[in-house]
Amino acid sequence: MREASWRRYARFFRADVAADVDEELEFHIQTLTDKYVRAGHSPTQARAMALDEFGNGARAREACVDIDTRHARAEGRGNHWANLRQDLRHAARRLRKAGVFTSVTVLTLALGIGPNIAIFSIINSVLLRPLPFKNPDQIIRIYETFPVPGGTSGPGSVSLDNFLDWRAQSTVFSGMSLADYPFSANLQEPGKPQRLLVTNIGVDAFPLLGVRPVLGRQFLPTEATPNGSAVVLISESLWRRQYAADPNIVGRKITLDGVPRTVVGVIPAAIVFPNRATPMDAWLPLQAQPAPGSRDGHRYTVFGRLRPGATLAQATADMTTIAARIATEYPIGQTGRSVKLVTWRETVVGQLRPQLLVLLGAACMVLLIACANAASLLLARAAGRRREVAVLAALGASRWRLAQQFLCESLLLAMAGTVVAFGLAVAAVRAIVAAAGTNLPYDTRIRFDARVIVFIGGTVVLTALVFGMLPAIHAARGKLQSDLRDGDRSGTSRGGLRHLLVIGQFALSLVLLAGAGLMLRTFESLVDTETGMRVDNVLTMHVPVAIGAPPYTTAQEALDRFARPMLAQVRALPGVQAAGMISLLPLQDYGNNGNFGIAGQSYASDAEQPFAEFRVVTPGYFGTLGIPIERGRDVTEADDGQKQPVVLINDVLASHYFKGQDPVGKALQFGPPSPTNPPATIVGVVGSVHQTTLDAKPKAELYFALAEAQRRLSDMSLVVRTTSDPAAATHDITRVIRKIDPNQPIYRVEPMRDVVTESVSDRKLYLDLLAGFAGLALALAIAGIYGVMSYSVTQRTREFGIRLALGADSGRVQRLVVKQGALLAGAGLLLGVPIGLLLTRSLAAVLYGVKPGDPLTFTTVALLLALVALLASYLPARRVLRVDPSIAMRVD
Amino acid sequence: MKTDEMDVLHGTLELLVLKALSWNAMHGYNILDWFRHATESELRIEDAALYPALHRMEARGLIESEWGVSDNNRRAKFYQLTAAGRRALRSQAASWERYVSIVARVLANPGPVGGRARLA
Repeated sequence: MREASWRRYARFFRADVAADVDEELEFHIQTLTDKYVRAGHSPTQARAMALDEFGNGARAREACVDIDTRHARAEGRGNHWANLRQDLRHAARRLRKAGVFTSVTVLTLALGIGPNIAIFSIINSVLLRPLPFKNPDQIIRIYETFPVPGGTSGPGSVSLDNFLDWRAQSTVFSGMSLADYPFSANLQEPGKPQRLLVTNIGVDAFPLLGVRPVLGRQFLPTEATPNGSAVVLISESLWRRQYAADPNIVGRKITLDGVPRTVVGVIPAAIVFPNRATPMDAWLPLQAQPAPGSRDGHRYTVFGRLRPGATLAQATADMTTIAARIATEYPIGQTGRSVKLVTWRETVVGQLRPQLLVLLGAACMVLLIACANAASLLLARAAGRRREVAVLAALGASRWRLAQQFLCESLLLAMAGTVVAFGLAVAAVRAIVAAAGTNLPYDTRIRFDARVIVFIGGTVVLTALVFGMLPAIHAARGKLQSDLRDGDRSGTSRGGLRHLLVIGQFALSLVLLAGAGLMLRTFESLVDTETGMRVDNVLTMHVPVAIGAPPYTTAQEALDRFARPMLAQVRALPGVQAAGMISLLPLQDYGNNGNFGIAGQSYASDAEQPFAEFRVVTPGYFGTLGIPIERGRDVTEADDGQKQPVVLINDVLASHYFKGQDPVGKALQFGPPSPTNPPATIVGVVGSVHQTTLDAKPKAELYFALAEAQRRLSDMSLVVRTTSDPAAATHDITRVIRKIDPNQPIYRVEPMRDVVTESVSDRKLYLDLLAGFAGLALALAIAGIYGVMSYSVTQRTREFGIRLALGADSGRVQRLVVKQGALLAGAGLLLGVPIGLLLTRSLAAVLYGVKPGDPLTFTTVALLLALVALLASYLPARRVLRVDPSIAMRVD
Repeated sequence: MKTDEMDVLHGTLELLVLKALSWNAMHGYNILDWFRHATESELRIEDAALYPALHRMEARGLIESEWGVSDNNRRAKFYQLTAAGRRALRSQAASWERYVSIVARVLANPGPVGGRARLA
């Protein structure tokens, strides 16, 4: 029966081949029969004569059916495309006519798709794009691990001697090279002093990475010898910025930190080695000589290129063996040291990967919520088109063809949504990259490569399927008879489907809001963290003092001729309360650290020596930042290098290494004692500050007086406490500095409050993005539930009319509507809580001061959503008041 | 049925159908009827053989069909020429005439010149 009715429909749409052939041949035979009947034969006889005259009817029938079947099949293939084109054209026309529906749906989808394109573009740029090296996957970073008091050994920089032994002994690397810490150097150009980010690198570093200069040549092996030729490689961006892309730059001399150097080449802009995000300006050949008998000076970034076919695991095994051999050979200083190998890519993007994937997941959820809204809109629209669909079906349109018509609309809507979304994504990526600064690797932007295009295409199709499939199936499965008769009245099953969509939206919204809520709590905890400093009304600026070359060959010279007069004049400025200098401003720079000995104690190895962060300060620094001097005194101008050197320690160091003793007056030894390296005396204990990040506990720390500093102090910052807005003092302060030394670079001028904020900028960005997604989700969910409830009220107008006519009071009917909304939202929240508890675990690594399943956050978010659901249901419910029973009951 | 009628030459049935339909749309019975008239029943086409030819020509796009009502008030399938069919009729008719004239010339040929002399 079912089969037969199918055939009947099919006849309208596509010919039934065999039946047609039969009918055609039968007509011929019947006409012949008529002829013989007219000639006077009996019908039976006439029929027999007709069949005889006709000939081999069976063979003719078979041949015709065969020809027609083949033909229909061939034509069908062509027809599919023709049908699709026709359906797309019709869909476009229908969508143009339904302007409001179309714009609302396109906008909804754009809000869902935009975040996905944006985040995927960043993922593509950051995680999927190869590093700008030759065979970048072969580049492995090699760290030294070292024991620290407390047991954990973190990956650290490498000493020159260890590097040389590794390079000599390792068999899995085709080459190994190194780079020193980047530092700021002063580029002396007439009239415009510049601060450049510079580092010393192994002369074979770029050839090993496969980096070729865009101009000039690489470093030569002879340039690695101590006091070798003074040469420099500059970056393409410096070349363009400073030298207007001068084609004759190679061979030209530039003065860096007072040393004239010959430019030998220009390195492509994409190369930020050894950094991951901050572009380098210039590279110098590393001309270090191993100090015999010492394996200290753990300061180098070491990398190797794996031989073809070698794996990271093999390299790790090989290097661990070598490190163990070195540790046995040199027990002093090497005991407990080993290695850690990580691909270079991992060092660049490793931390970002989980965060970006979480963001992509969040963006997907926003898209799902948007799809639910779009599906809901389509279902409501399909309900209005049921008569039309029923007529099409009665005319023989196949279910697939009906579904295809609906899917064509979805596809067009998804495409339009994607076009709008792309605009949003371009703007968003630009904003994100600008806000991210060095939290994202160098040169992150939207790239139109195959991956992005495939992703966008896939998103369009998937989105269209996700939000269009349900309405399409639903439309195609229409109950013809009742739909033709009843028109719009019975919408219960579609209502049910839309209710499920609302439940899903609320569940997903809860998850996103909980994630954003947890990040907000994290950020609040961070900002509320006691930094150990009074950061308001303090201005900071980098005033790098290069020591070791003219104009300041010694720290004492820098102190006498620059720091002291400058500080005195700044302090004398109106509105200035205090001023001081420090190397490595807290919460901005860190990384100078090492071991030391306490006089009177002996150590079996370095591993047992105390370990601390090192910073250099001038008098006045602690007072300026409000860091209390808990015992002893501050450094003073009387702490001159000729007497015994002095240091201050923080209370973490004091409580860790001088339990129950007074550290003031105790002597500390740095490195092997010698007449030129006398022990330093502790003159005071200061309060601890968060040196590295707000969420890391303050570490043990030592402060040297500037005059004691033996190393170059390329990262001195000036801190100034002012009576009012610190930024307003910038002009006066820079004028004072320029008066003393017109060539002195000044950069990164910002209030200390901003330095603190920037130190949590990665979390801030993460919070902002998650909060943005959660906000989108919330808005879409509100629109979703509001739409469904409004629709439901419209649909039930007749029912409400009857209820009101029968004497129900309107308040009760309103409560009925609100209750329905509340039930939907409640079901969504119940579903969302376990999902949220599970998914927010992926945030654990970035949370601070709050646990992933934080009950307070979840409760707050659930209450917020419940409130929103009640409001969104109440507004449509109010329309019940305006229902006039006599009109409502007539509504068709 | 006459005993002296000839079967249609293989390959010319299509041309004859095209010619038949060049006047107006016809169903299969019409075509055969017209045929008997036009050939004064001297050429014979088996009724059953016509239909596979019609369907093949339709599949090739030379003719198209439509259901209609016949003179005796029955549902019948009517065929008519397509534009491609009209072009095919012109070119096939032309090549047929050329073929016939060539064959006729060959048949009218008196024979090889000097053949006898050579034999002798």
